[in-house]
Amino acid sequence: MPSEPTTLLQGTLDLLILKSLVAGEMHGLGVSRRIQQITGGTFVVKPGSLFPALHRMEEEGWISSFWGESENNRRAKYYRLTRAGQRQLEAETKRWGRISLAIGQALEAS
Amino acid sequence: MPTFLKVRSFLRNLFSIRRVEVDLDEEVRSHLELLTEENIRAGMSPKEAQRAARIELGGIEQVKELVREERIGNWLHSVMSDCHFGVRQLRKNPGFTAVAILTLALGIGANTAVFSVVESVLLRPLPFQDSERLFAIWAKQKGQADRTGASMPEFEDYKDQSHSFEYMANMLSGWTYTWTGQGEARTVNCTGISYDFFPMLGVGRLYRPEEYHVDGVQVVISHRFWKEQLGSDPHVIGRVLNLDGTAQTVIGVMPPVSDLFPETDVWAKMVPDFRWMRMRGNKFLDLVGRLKPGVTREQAEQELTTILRRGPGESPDISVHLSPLKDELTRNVRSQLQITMAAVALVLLIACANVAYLLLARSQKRQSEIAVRVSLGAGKGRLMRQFITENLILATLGGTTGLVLAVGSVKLFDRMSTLPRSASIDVDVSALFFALFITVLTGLLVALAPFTAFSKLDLIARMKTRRQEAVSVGGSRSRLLLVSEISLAVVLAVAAGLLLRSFQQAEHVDPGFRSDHVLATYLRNNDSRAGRFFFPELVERTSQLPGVSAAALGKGMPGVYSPSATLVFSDRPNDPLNVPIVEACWISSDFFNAIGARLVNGRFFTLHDDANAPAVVIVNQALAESYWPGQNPIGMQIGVDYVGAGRNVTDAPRFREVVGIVANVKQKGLDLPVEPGLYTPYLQDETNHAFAGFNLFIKTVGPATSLAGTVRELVHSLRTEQPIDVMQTMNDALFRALAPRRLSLLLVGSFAGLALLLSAIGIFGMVAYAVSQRTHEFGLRMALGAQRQDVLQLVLGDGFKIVATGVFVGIGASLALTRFMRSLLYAVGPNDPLTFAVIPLLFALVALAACYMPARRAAHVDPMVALRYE
Repeated sequence: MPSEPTTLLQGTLDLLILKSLVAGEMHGLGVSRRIQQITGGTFVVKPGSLFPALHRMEEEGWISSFWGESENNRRAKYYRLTRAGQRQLEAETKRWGRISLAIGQALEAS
Repeated sequence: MPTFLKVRSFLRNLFSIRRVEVDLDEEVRSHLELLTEENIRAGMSPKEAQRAARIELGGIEQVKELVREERIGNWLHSVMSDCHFGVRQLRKNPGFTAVAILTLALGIGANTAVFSVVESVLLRPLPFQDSERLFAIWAKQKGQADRTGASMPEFEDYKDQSHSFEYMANMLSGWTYTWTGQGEARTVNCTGISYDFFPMLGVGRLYRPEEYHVDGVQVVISHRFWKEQLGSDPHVIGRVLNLDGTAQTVIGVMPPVSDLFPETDVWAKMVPDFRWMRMRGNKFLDLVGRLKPGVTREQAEQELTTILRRGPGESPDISVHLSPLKDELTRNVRSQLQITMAAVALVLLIACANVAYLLLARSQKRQSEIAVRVSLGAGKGRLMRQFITENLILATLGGTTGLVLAVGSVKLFDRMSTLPRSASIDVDVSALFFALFITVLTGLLVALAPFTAFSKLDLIARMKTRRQEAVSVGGSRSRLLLVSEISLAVVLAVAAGLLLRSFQQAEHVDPGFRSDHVLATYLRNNDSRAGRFFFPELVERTSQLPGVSAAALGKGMPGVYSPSATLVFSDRPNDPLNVPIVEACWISSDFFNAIGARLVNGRFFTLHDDANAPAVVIVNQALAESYWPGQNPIGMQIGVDYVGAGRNVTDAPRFREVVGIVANVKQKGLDLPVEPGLYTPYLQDETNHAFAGFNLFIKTVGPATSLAGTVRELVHSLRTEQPIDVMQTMNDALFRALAPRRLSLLLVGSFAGLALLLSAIGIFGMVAYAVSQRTHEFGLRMALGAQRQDVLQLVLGDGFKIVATGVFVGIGASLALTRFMRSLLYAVGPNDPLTFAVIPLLFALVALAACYMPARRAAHVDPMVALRYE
């Protein structure tokens, strides 16, 4: 069974997916590569984590999906951010800011 | 609208699952293709690119399974598919399924049935107002085994001085009226009650206070009496019944409270006018009280103890006790029912072990299937859920069948039970919940075994080989299951064995009398003065009937019950606070001949031992030995003072000369130890009180029942209004007296039999399976020169090791546990050596039988065939 540190990254993964979709609609592999790119290669999201997250977020209503054509004319499922997704991204971003600030302060304290 | 979205997703996942699945499949595949393309663009060869893409994806099915687990409503879907799959699995193995369902049905059914009985009898609250605050009140002298009731003056003291009770009532059951003027005279059972009794139970005020102080004239009748004897007469109120020669008007019918004194026909008034009731020493009343809210049992006990000790001449060692009224009504059957419940719970555990074992054996065959599932991405939780679902289906089928069995057996049990409160025994809602509870519990318990077996499954090894390993069937887990199953069965068998031995002792130890060819009838005569003429004539005329070899009167019935008396000695100081109580019966002269008792010393009574002759007494050996050890009591003088309601004696008792010693008669019960007892000639009862009723014993030449009609006619020719309540052979009376013991034996015995059968199936299954798995090995051994004998020994030895361990553990557990059933044993110790020797032998035999068939098959394996097997 593939073992990804998904539990640790649960909230983070959602945030990264939402953030990557801000750039526009893209398919699963696109999301994966975009995350790799914007995190400077720190996060490599494997399909075993990516697809469950995408489907869950779609059921939450944050993203919606449709079938489209890839740049090489292959059929692929595309995802785009919904309005609810945008709001979620804002909320998550704020929350993340608070957390990272707090953690940063905690680590600097002597 | 996220909620709306979620509902939509849920419905889509539920109803359009095929489309959702196709969609998912395409998405993952397209992802794979995109990856491959990406790799090709990065310069890989197409083959390499595809390989790398597959590695990065990590398995199409696994990814899909992960997505599925994230879906809304996934649980419902997987439960449904698990159910489908489970049912398919069960149908694929009809033999296994039938055995498992039947085993579980027996276990769950028996438990539900016994629980229904226990719940109806022991647990269900009494149907009265605030019944949890109703208590029986009784007193006990320190150091004495017997409880005492209360006398009327004590009751009045409590009522005047105590502040703990809302209500307190006294009652006296077991007395009778003779009901005449309506066909043949009949005896009517009365329970006398004081005024507060009905208000205390919350059944209304059936007697008015002003009616209460007048004896007779009005009665309240029981629901049963109204239905059965008065034909549910709608105009019963105001109807006049002639009871004991007095016209009494029915003023009320009790609601149907079968729980309380089910034999009661008439709820009569306890009017405290009789002289005997005014005596402080006459402690025959049963007291019941309803505590005020917030008053604890201990507080009330303390208060009443203080009040009681203040009474004149009362011992400082006496104390008052309260016990819940419900417990009091079921006191005699409590331990019997508890043992039965424990026995049947053991049966369920054994059934679980058996089914768990079957599942474990079956799971060996399913290892490849499980390995495939795991490799396709089924997680541990998912597997566990599937096992539990499968086993819950199994348990539900078993439980439903069991419930049907339970309803049937409770009906059957109801018909043959003599339990108190038995009118209310049924399989009710709480029993259904209980059945549901044990069904679920059983399902979870039996799921545990195969799951723990799989959780250690070596996936790769499983996939690689098709050979099914037998290791874990003979392995520690299934050994443990079988050993515990056998040891539980041993405990049950020992319990049943002890009960059987007790029953044998009760039936076959010499009771000191001969019950064959004895007809007995109880003749109540509530008019003692008339009885003084009636009974002597009756016994004389009966003895002259053709076919009668002896006729006699006696209080009590040997082997069933006996009245009691207190003793006063002339040859030693008497301690008024520690008065000896012994069995005591008034008898006519031929009594010992009629019941076939044996004289040890001195003489029996004759017709000359009448009111004018010197007072005499015959004692039994037990009394002689306890009070005159090593001496001859013939010629000693003792005073016999009656104990019992209605006793009128205030003066010191008359002294009687001991004229004979009779061999011990088991007077109170065949299954009770002999107690000191004495017999006095009925014509010497100066109080007349013995004449209120006698058993007539008729020793016949032919069959005892042949004289029943003649005796009936004779009784009525002497006294037309004489009711004849029971006419039965003494053997029948004894048979009935042993009914509770027979019932215990039957129940525990059949549970033990069931347990033995289940263990035999378990042993057989284990050995048969192990043999089938080791055919190859046996063939090899035989090819290398092993004889049939050796293989036989090998297989039998393996089976025996497990059985021996189980028996060893079971015997140890029994040694620790059987003392809890001491109250059900008679003349047999809880560690009876015979039982403890026979049960292991029995198990060894059963194990031998269960192992033999598969062992024989192993020994007849053809080496060539066996080696080609695989």
